[in-house]
Amino acid sequence: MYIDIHVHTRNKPGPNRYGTDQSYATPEELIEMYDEVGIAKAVILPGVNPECAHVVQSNESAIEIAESYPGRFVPFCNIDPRMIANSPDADLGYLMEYYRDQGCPGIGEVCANLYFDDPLMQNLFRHAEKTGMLLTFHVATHQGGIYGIVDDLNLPRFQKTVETFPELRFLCHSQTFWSEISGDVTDETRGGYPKGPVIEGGKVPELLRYPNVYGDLSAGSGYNSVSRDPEFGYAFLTEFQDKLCFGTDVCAPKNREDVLIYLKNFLEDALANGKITQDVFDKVAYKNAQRLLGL
Amino acid sequence: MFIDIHVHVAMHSDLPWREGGEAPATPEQLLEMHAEVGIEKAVMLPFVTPECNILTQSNEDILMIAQKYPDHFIPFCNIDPRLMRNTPQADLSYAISHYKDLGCRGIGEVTPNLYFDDPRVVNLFDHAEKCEMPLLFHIAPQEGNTYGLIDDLHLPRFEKQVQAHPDLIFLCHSGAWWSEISGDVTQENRNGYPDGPVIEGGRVVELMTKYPTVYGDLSAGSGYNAVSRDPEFGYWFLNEFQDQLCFGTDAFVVSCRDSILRYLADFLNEGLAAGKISQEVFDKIAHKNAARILKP
Repeated sequence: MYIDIHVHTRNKPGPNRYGTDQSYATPEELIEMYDEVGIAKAVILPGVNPECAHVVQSNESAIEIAESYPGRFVPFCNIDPRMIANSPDADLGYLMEYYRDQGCPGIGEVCANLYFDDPLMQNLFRHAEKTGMLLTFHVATHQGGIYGIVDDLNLPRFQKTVETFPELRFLCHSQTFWSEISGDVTDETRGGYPKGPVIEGGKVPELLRYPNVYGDLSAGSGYNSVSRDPEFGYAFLTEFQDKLCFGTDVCAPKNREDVLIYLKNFLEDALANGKITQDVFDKVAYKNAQRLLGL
Repeated sequence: MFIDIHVHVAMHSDLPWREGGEAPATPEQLLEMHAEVGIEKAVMLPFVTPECNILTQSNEDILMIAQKYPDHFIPFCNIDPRLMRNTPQADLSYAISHYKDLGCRGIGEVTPNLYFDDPRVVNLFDHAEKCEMPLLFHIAPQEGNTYGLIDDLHLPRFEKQVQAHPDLIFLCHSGAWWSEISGDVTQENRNGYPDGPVIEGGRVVELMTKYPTVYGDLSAGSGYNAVSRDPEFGYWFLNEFQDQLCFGTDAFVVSCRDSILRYLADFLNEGLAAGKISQEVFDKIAHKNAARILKP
């Protein structure tokens, strides 16, 4: 069985995602896809930040979906750091507590295109830590023309944030995070899906040694990081077996052909070939998520 | 009868719009409130932009309300200029056309805390103009700790955008807009509700005279204050710009029933009864201008 730590779905999907021929999967479409591959439960990440969406979604919509399909979905709320007053002094904890009481154990996918050390972002982290919420985020390589929290090569701003908020559990996601698995990542390759052998000295292994840093293995980026150099990938899964969570980042029905199955197939092949143990498989597939989500 | 050019409503949420405040009015509560003052239709402005509030709404939420009460509520969509990858090259017409086809008659309330001449905001104006959608906005006096499009005292950046977008109808709103009705507005009082006589030379008068695309959204304490702080000036202003002003309330919680729901309606009714404005002027401001702008 699997728990998907990262999915997007809408009751009212809105127009097709720009430049594609599909909009978001509805909850019904998603459940059908999940039933095909054995995903028992999934975390819904509402699209609240404008940078990331062509249709903004409310937290209430994610909560409603979870209520409509008991046992299948865990809603996260998404708190934009500019909310309430566009101020680093905004009491975002007020909002977090409200949504935590509505059943949201985490915040995300945080996609505001601001620097990690922007005072607005630091305020969000401070309140997330205080309220004991998990935080899933997307990293951007730059400001403008993209979404996600901005950091430089080798993620120095994120690392400082991790040290500043030792009790805040970060679920790390996106190309700009996972490309740092290899020591040879460059400014040119960090926003993509670098191929080939993983070189020692990557920032991701270093960061995952912080007790509050977790890897969200969803999307092409998470899958690429463990599959680009399979032997490294198996060792990585084993070493960080308590810090990694299975995920898909399914956004549309057509993802049934790619991110819905890529990581799942990789994990199952690794298990079948004795590259990872059943214990490691179970932790990555659902047990770590169960623990983090308090299920 | 009145058409309210500016309301906020939420289908179901007990989360207040602002910390410590009331939960948003539901459509049913607003219908009841509107009936009390003769408001027959109202434009709903979704809260999409994070800076403005606690609660994020989707355009879809608002469309659901419009579908439920099609005779009363008119949906606007709200398009954040950072939508679709935070770039001035974003094809915002794609989203605007989608919502126009679903019945949205305009865009707003536009409240991101970006400058009027930020390339992303200019891009939003470009696409709104192309899609022939009126745009309702809130002005902020500074960056940070507030919401709304930013301009300096006397609104030079806004004027440039009006000139650059001659076919875009701007529905102007907020304290930092209406305080400019008087020539003596200052940096200190521009975001408030200045009292007392209106001094000649105000930018609102100048902008509405020079540009037929500039409309006044008279909602909220700011719109009411602009016409009532100096009643004789106010009646002159209503007569002078009778084709460019729209009645509105900005009612968003039930407690607005005792304030902005009726302040402007009472002022207009009294102006009509006292012969300060004609029935024709009253009708234009109360509903005819809105009906013209909102025509599909």
